Amino acid sequence: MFVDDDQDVLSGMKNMMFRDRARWDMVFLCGGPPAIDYLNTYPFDVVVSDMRMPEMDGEAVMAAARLVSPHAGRIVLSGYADAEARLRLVPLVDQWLGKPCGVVELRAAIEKALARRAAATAPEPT
Amino acid sequence: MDGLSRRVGARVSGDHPPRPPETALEPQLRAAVEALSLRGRAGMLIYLAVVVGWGLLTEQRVAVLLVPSALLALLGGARWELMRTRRGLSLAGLRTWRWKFGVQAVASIVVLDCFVAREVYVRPLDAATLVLICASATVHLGGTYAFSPDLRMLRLYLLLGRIPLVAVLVTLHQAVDRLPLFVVVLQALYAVVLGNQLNGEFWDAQRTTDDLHVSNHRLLGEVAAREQAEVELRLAQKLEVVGRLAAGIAHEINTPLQAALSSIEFVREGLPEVLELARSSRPAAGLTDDLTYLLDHLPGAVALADDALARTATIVRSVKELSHPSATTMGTADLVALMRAALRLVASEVSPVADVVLEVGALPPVECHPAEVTQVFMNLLLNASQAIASAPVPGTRGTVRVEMARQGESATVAISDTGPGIPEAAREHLFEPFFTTKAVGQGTGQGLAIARSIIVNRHGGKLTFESQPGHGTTFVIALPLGTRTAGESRLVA
Repeated sequence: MFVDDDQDVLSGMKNMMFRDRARWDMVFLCGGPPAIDYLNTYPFDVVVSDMRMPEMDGEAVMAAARLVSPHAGRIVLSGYADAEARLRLVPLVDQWLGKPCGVVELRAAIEKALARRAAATAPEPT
Repeated sequence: MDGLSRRVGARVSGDHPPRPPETALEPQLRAAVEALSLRGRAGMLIYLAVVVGWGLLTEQRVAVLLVPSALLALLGGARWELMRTRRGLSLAGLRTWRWKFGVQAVASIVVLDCFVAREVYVRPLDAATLVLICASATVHLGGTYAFSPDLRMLRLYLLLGRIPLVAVLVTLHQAVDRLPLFVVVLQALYAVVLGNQLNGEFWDAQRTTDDLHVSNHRLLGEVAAREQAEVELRLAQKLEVVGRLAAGIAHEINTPLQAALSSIEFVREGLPEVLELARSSRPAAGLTDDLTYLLDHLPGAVALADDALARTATIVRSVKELSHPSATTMGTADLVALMRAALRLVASEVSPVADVVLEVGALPPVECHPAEVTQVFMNLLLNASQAIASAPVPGTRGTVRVEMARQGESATVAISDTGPGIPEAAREHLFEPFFTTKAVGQGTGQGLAIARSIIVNRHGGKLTFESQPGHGTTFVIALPLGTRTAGESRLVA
């Protein structure tokens, strides 16, 4: 799932990721509250979220995601690269991407998150 | 009087620079001079009264002849007063006056006393001795007034000055037995006392003036340093605001940039299929000219847009790095990366007039304030391109050469231009704040002053320059390598 407060960014990402729609089930949510609602309702594997959003910021989204599904990948895609915020969010965030981010980078980040998730969840059944 | 003051005014404001502040009399010295001139006049009046009284009492014709000498001295004082009111008090004026007044007073006494002596049949030889002795006294007194560099010399002069006066006293008494001793003693004493007072007060006043001058000078220096600091602070604050603004703008730009970049990537990825479809769908009918053009040029246009967006992203990232909070604190930084960022940021100014040649040697990371160092780089690069643009050579482009290398325990960055060089007269003022050769409104005269402050004061480095008129200028920054790197280099060696 992708979260951003800017509809244009979301549309752009939706377009950018159109090649992956067959292999991944993607949802694009505008802003924090719909994202939290979605998190609490449906299963998910990777969250890609903007950091600075009105109403509810990326930190809240990430915290909620960790609560609901600790093994899901959490990727921040933000225009801000504030060192302090990054330090504070180390436990919450797996990967940090700077805006603007190309499709290659984003794909790589999501693949990495999925691989990690697979590695983390696989031993559990045994 | 009008004419004189106008002449004096013209001389002061004309060829000569205005009188330096240290020769203006301090209030204390002014008060001393006022008191002195009052006392001098009082003394002369007493002298006059005594001589006249003695003459009247003893019915001596000689006494009448002594009156003009006292009057002359009074006149000298009056003349001084007049000069003082016209020109104002100054230390130099005071010195001249003392000398002149000393000569005038002693000469008048000598001449008139000699006249008195002739009246009472003094031998010519005695008269000549008198004149010589009095002349030497005059010279000594004058010397005392005019050239007294320190207290010990002053005392010596005073002592030397007194010997002839005592001799005058004795000789006069011997030569002129009809001239009563007390008149002669009075004259000599008056001269000695007056001389003492003059010198003592003068020296005190001068010492005070010197002290004041020294502290004044120190204060002026402090004021200048403070002003410089204020200018730098104001500029730093301005830069901080600009930095924050830039960071804000950068973020705002990044969001639409993300949308644009995503969309362009989408188009780029999807376009080949669409084009293929278009080509294959109407092979028989043949393609129209317009469609052929579109098929040929769409991929290029998308690539161009993609490139342009990527470049925009790079510029925005450079701005963000510059205004990044962590960039204002001390840290290790790769000077080459900073230079590349600076070059990107000033590319729009430099590239129209000059080619940039970047030569990089092995350079370890340097402990520095990255944003400030980048700012200095930008400043020097802008100066270089402006220097080249200020004297364009038709048909050729200038070159901005950047050489970065390690020299001993410091990292050096040399930025050279092929501009007209720095004129001789401008060189010594180059790093002064507010000094600029650019047109009004184009330069603040702060760039190099701040660059120097950043390099020298904040980093303990050096900022020097070499310039050959007609051949260009090279600015060299030398930043000390951190102690850690120094240790490493010793281990390697």
